[in-house]
Amino acid sequence: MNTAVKSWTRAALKRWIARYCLAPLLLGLVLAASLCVQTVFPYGLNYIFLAAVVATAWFGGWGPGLLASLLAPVVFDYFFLPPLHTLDVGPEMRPYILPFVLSAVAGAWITSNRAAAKRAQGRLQESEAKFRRILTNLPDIAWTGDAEGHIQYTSPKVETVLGWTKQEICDGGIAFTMERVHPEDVEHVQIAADDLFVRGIPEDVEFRWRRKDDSWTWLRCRASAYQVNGVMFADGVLTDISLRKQAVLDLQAKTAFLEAQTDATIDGILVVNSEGRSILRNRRFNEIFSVPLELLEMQEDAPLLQHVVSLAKDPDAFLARVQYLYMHPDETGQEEIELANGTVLDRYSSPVTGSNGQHYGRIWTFRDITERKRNENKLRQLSAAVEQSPVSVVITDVQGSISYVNPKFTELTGYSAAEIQGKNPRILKSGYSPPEMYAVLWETIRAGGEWRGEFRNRRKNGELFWEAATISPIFDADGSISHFLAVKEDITHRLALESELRHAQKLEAIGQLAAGIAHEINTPIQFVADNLTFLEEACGSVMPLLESSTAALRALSSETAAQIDEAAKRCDLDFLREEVPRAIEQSLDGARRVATIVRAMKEFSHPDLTCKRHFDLNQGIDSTITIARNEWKYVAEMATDFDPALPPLLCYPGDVNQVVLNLIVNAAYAIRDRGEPSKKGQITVRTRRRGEFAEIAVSDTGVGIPREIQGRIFEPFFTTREVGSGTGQGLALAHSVVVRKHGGKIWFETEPGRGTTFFVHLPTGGGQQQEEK
Amino acid sequence: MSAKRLLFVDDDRMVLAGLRRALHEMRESWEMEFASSGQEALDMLAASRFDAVVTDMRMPGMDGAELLERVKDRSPEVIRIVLSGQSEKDAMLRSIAPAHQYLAKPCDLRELKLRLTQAFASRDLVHNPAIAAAVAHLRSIPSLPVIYNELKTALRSELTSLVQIEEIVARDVGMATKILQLANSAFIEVRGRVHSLRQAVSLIGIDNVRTLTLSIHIFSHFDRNSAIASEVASLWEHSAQVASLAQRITMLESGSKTMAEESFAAGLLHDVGKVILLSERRGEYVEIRKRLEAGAAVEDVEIELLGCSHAQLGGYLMSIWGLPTSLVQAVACHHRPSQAFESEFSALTAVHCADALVNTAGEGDEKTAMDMAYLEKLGLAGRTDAWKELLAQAQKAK
Repeated sequence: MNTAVKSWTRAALKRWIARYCLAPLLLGLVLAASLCVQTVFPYGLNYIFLAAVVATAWFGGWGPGLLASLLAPVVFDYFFLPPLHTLDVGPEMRPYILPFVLSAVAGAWITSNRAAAKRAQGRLQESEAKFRRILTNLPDIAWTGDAEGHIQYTSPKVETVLGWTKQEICDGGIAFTMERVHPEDVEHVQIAADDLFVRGIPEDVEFRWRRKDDSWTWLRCRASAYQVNGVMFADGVLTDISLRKQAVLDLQAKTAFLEAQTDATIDGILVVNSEGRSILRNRRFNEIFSVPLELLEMQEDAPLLQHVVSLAKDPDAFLARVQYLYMHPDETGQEEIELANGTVLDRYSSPVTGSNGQHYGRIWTFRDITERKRNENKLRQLSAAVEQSPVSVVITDVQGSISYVNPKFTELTGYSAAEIQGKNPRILKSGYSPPEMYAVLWETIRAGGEWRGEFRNRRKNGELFWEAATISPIFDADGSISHFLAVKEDITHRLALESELRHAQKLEAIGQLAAGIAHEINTPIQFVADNLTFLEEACGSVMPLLESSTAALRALSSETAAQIDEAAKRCDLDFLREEVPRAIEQSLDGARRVATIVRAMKEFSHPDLTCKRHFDLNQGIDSTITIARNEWKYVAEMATDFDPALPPLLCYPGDVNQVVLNLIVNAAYAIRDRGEPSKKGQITVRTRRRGEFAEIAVSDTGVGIPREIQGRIFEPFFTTREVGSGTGQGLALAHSVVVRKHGGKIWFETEPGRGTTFFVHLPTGGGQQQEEK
Repeated sequence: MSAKRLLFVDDDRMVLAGLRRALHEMRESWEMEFASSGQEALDMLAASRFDAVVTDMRMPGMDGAELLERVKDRSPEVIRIVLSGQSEKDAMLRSIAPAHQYLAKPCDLRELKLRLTQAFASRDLVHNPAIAAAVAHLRSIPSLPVIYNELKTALRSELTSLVQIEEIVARDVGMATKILQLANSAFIEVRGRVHSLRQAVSLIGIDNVRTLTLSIHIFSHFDRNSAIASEVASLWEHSAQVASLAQRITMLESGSKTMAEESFAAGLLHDVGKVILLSERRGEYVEIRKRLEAGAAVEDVEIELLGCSHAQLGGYLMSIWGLPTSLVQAVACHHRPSQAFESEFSALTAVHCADALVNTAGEGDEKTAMDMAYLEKLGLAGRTDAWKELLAQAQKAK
């Protein structure tokens, strides 16, 4: 610092002396010299004057020079010479005038010279100011230093760039400079300095330097050396390259990332430039297309393309598509490509365009979606299976809100998917299934188990149906229950069929039993009836004999007559005569009745399940009434009104008998339900021919059918009787037999409290066959 | 006419005792013997002649079906009747073949008496014991081979309807006779006799017809290539024509469909006696044809040669097979209707007239005239032209 101040002081002193002391000093010298000349040469004074003016102009510039040249003659004239105007200017006066002229010319010349010099200096100063401004504004730092490491000069920018002031740096010396260089860079900075100063090679070095705020800044130093008086100096420029350095680093990182990404991606990537040459393809690309080794090393594109195309299932279409995209560089394309080996690729191609719209090339991305495709297909198949399943599928969340139902569910229940969404399946509840069952169900599935069972549910329209359900939880990936799945099958029809089948089996068993019993009963009946017939005849022939013989004996003697009367009285002959024939007759009647019942039983229990037969309906109904006697005889009188003109009915006789039996049994129940056991009701069975139909009408005087259940009595399993007293299948079975099996009709007319009449119409021709004309 | 000898067989002696007592009143016309087993019955049959056997079906040792098979072989002339209390359909179907009739216990003995009396009466008209035996031995009347095959084919298909079966049966004399026999057996639960073919088929049911035809082979058929094939064919043609015309005549006269169907059946069966002759007595049949060509009357020739007419032969078969009396009469008297002592229009009338009309119109050798005295008595003499018109219509339609 001391040194700097000293050198500055010296220089300033020199400039001050040159500017302010030199001219007056010289002027004094000139004046002294002119006084000496005056004394030697009388006119010599004018030359001194001339010299003074010249000197004044020389040093003082054109202003003092002009002043001197105007004032000096006056001063001189006043002090030393007569006034000039008084002078007689003649040749003798030339020595007077000449110095004036000369001094004027010299003064003017000097003055103009001085002015030029002045101007030059002004320009220099201007130039210096300009450079100073440039230096000040330049982002780089200009510096000058010596081999010792002393920085003599730095441009003012240094403070903004490095944080240190120019003074601090210049005063810091070599230690200050070097100790702030980044340790990793010290070595090559040292080498560069050596090169610069020792060998004189201009250097260009980049290094990190610690700023005043302790942050690092990247600097680039370009310097060249020169020698002054055998001492090496150097000056140079420091550029802050932090930003550039950072950008490069960023770019390197980015490139590294990109490269890693390109190789790490699951997609095969191919980048081609605008000329269509491939400039990048990643490992995955080679894998996907199993690019052989020799092609990998090859730089040509044509074989590669050929190889890729050859793998496609439809190479022509693939190639056409690729060519199309090359022809239309701006288009983005995506499509699925199937390879011959079954691999499916999702190919995406998009142009690479710069911000200025320039076309750089195209990126092709190939993603192997075989697995996804397979999963999609599987999912589609599974979903189709669920959608088209003949069983209904319901998915609920853990709270039981419905999130999915398949179309079968809609078909079965009548609820559309939209209206059932979010509802609880309990809206299907009919109330027929016990609450305990639901409790067990929830307990089972909440515990993660599977529940199987049967529900009796209600459709939207109120109809009941049975379904067999399997309900199980659906688990999350973490093993917790996320949903419940119910798969349910409508088993109403099956249950009805099973019930019918059971019924048929029961009938068959009864039929077999009846046949066996019939055989056992028929034989004794045969001889009981035969013997009774015999007794009847015998009695018929013995009685007259008895009459005539007693009469003959009576006629013999009164004693014999008395004996006979006595014997007759003892055995009450009159009573015997009266009652024995009657007893025989009634026994015969009983035997016939038994025979009728047995035959009725056989006829009834002879279901011909496989085909239709002609059937005497009146006879069949008669038999049925006989065997159902026990059902009605305590509650009702039975009346029949058969149409004798009824043609034989082509039908399933067993089934028709069953229908009639059900109607008669129902009629008896309806009468019993009146709760008047003392008063017998009336059941009337009528048959009529109604065109192509035979009509059976079964009327009772029972309670009638309540209005609210009138619409449902033909539903399967619908019953109003207590559990155990009926299957609830009677009328459903009748409906099925009449409508489904025979193409007939069944309906009823009822008046609550008064009675019901069921009507059955059966086609006499069996539904398909019509009678011949 | 000597007393008929009957043999009752039942393992239950009480039944035999009951029958003995109840049929005691028949003692003047029937001599009855009782056997409590099949073997005993066979011994008795070997020892003496019987006219009829009435047997139970289920018996220990030899059952009724077996007994009847043996009776059929040893003494074919004996009328074979089953009186059974069983009701299992399979057993019944099996026992039908060897029996002429099947009656169910408990049986009203009046029915038994009626059937037997009718059978005996018809047989008494057949004065040739050999022929009587041959007829009683018959299990079936042969069918026309074509129709028989048609029936079998139809029955093998599940789609065949009852109507189709009816239609086939109604074209064949043999089948029609057998079907009516079955329908009048007690294994069909029906009250009263069956007169109509259509009713018979539907009562038996397609399943039973199938079992009987394809498994039990109750139908038989003529040899397709025999020398008499053309005879058989023309006989079938004639029967069909008479059946159809008899039906039309009945429809016209009575308006009753039921009766018309009966007439159809009677018409179809009216020459069943000839079928029997063709099948069993071919030589005699040929001889009769020869004599007819010489211009003789058919009944005379037959009685001279055989001891009975083909009409009586047919009536005999039908009566021992248990067909209804009216049908039997219509067939047995179709040449001499006044023998039937009937006083109003019946199937007999229709068949007699139809047969006469068809014969007169045809080119056959058999020319029979309508019994105008008979028609006169019924007050139908003036209707013959209308009937001729019916025939003409039928032929025209053909």
